[in-house]
Amino acid sequence: MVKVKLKKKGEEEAQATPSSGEGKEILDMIAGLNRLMKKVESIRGIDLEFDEIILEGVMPPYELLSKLLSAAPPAVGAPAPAAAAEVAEAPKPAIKLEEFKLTPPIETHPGAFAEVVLGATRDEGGTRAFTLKIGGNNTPPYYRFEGGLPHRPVIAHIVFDEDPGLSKLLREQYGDVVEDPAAWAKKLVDVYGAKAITLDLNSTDPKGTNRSAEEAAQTLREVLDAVDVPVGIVVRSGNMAKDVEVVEACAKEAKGENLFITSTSLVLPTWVGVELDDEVLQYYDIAKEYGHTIVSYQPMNAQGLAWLNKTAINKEIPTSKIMTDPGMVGVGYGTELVVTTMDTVVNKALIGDENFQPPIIAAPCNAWLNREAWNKFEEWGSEIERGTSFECATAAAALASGAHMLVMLNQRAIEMTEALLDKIYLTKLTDTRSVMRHLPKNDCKKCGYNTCQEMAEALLKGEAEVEKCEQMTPAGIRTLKRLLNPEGVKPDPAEIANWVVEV
Amino acid sequence: MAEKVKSPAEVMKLLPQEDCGECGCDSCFEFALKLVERTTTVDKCPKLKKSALKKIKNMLAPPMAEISFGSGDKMVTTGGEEVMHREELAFFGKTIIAYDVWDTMSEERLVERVNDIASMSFVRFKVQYNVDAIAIRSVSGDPTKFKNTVKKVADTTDLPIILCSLDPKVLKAGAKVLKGKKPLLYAATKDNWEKVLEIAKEYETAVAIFSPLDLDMLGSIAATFAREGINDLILDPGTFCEPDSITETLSNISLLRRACVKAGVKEVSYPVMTVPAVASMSFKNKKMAAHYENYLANLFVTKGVNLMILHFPEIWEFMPVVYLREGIFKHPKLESAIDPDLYAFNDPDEMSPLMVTSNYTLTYGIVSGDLDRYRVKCWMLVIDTNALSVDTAVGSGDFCADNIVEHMEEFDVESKIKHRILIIPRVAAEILPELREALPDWKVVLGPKDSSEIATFLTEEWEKLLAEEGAA
Repeated sequence: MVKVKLKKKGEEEAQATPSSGEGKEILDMIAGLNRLMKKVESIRGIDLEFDEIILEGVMPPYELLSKLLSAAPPAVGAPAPAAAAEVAEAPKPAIKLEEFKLTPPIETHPGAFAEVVLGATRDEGGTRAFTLKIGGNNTPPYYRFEGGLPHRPVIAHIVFDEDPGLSKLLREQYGDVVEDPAAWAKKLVDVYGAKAITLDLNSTDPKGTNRSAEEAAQTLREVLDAVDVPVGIVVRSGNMAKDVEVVEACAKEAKGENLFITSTSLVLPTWVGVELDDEVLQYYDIAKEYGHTIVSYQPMNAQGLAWLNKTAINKEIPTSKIMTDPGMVGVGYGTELVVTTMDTVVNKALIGDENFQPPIIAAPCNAWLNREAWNKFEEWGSEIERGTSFECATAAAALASGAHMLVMLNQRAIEMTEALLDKIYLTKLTDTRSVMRHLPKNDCKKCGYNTCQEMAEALLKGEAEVEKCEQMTPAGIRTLKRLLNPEGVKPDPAEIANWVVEV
Repeated sequence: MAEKVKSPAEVMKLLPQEDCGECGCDSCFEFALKLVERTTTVDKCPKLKKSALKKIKNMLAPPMAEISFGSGDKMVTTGGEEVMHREELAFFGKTIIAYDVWDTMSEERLVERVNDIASMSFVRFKVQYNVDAIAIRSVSGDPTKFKNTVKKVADTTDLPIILCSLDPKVLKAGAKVLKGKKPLLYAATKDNWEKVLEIAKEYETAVAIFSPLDLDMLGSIAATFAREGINDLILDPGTFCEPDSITETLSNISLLRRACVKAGVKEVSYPVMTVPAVASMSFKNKKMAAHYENYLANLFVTKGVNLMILHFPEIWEFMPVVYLREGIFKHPKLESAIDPDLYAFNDPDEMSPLMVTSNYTLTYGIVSGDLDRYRVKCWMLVIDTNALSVDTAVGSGDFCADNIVEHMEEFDVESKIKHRILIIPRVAAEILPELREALPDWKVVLGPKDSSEIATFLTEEWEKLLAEEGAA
């Protein structure tokens, strides 16, 4: 007795073609039955619904069955007669694709980050050529399924008022201006296209050169006169009183310029509830009095940041004049703790806690404090590339965690970051420098222009075609075309390429 | 479906409640707490009944499936995530890092590249970091060629293998070679899933599902495979790196994670992978492309992506990605301080140099790594700085003269060491005056700024310092 499974509607015929004559006999018989059943089914109104029938009187020997099986995929194990014939006859049941529709798991966030403006133009009481706006998002970083990305993060290029000991790669970029902060700042804007400058007043450290607050203010004045982009200062003398002194002198000197001011020396009491030191209160008073934007700094301490922000808010400084600095460190040196701090800040800000809503400023340039960025260990590969890759990695961690503003040092890392932000924010390229970022910069002349710069200018005027560049990949060409004309150029379906064969 | 809430009290009910301490915890409740936060494992309890074990495992099962591929020692596992952000608990499914080779390479180049990839490594805190897996791409589209390439790769390395082709015939040719080695098939798509499913069943493989920008299809295919008994699945929503589409990629990663850990959508509750290697399509200049790839990789690691395929096996790119990954996937509850003590390096004697450092794991790890690397014979006094690094601890006052003196007394330094020279890190220069005052019998000197320079410093200075002391 053999059990035979009959095929259901829509299934394919059995593929088995046994070599032996006897096997064929059985298969033929089954196939015949199938045909018969199909005919019955084809009669209107009749719907056969059974999984197996019993063929009586057929008693094939085991050898025959195993032959039959070896011909019919998939043959598994040594089967009992009943199971064997099932496989022999039946093609596998057709596999149905599960139906699924993903409902985007959207959450509503009652809160949003504040919008902060950097710098002030003449109309606003300053002397900057333009201002920049950051923050304002009401979703976690890059959750576009929940909402838009309002403002592109700003990169402030850092200038030191005293050579902090620049490594080889950085010396190539700033070696000629390292002794003169104003010239350094000017180079950053004129040559490297900086849109914001942070002046690090590291010479004010009492244990170091110990420059006075007045000298620091004078340096700031020179920088403000040399460039017309928004400017900030970082004071990190390691001494609260000295920091406040420097901050006050600078705030006064730059009255109306809407500086972004950071002091990294403010220490919180060990216990919540204990009063803050006078210097901390003075720090916020000064910012308020001279109308600057003030940064609350506490490394890897979300509650500490909220405490400082609350102090500022209680002084009636609006959240649009405060920023939060969680103390970014280079990858491998506790970056994850800063990431976690930023997670907390973002979550609380979106819940609606005002104390967490000042936008986040993070300093990936701190990657240069770690030896991986500059050490010449041969087994670690080129230190030139490493300096860039470690600062970029740190910046990536900051961006992915929701930083609204970055402070960076190395031009190669800055260029990489700006190019990435062009793509993430689909920013229309309007100046030569930004176009150059997406060109090969090797002046090969094959496009007909003498330099990539000339080509960039022609592209901006609409006088050249991106395709003329022979040094770019199709993806590179698509990228630049789209960025030159974000509204006009539609995304190219070719982008969904099969990387398996194209990389 | 709502988010699953795990309660230590519920776990506690299933434990023996004898507080025997064999699991390393003082009480069953502490064990329950640690099970929920995943800093211990349930098999540590020797007295648990089988039924209770099963119940606890079910109760604590993370929403995201845990998957593995490869075989033997090199098998890799990922997934098992249960939170959106690290601050909520921890990330668990450490990013598997794979590099690619392809079937149009000459045999010589293929072997060379496989060896380059497999040998790319660095040591940090005494741990050696290597590439986790190798991806083989079928560029030719020829099953025979692919089969030969897979065979050559498998003969050269025992790293887990990802077979990359959208053509089932090619995948099958590769899977056949790796029978029993559980490769990851990349990928099942809306067009080939039926055939890929057959291969996965026949050769017992793991499967990546690739559905660019169509998350409904991604879930459909995953649910179908799961129903058919293939559970080692990983989702690829497509890695795009061009204007705007890159934003979609970042957004989709978070969307899938949210759907899994917060909304409990079973169909997409699998680990997620990306392919930063697509960066190489954007630039002809290889360095530019490698830097872009590095950027994408680090964005993805921060977002908790579970597997990445990279294209440029450059140590300077591999290092930052691994550095970040090791941090992001480190459990925040695990200790970040080491025990203060007088540590001996390379069998020192009573006249060997004495140095001092902080008890922050990272600091100690770096310093001890350098001392080992250069076989520096010395004593290292590790003082309790509340797990702060030296420079931070100088600022906070934890790395100060009093603290150093206290530790010197506690560990009886004066009787273990005959000379009276103490070397302190240059970054602690500011405590020098007070320390000299506190240790009048000692000569306190500034060492180098970075511990990698200790060996050179000692070679140049130590004999001189000893001689000076002898003269005095």
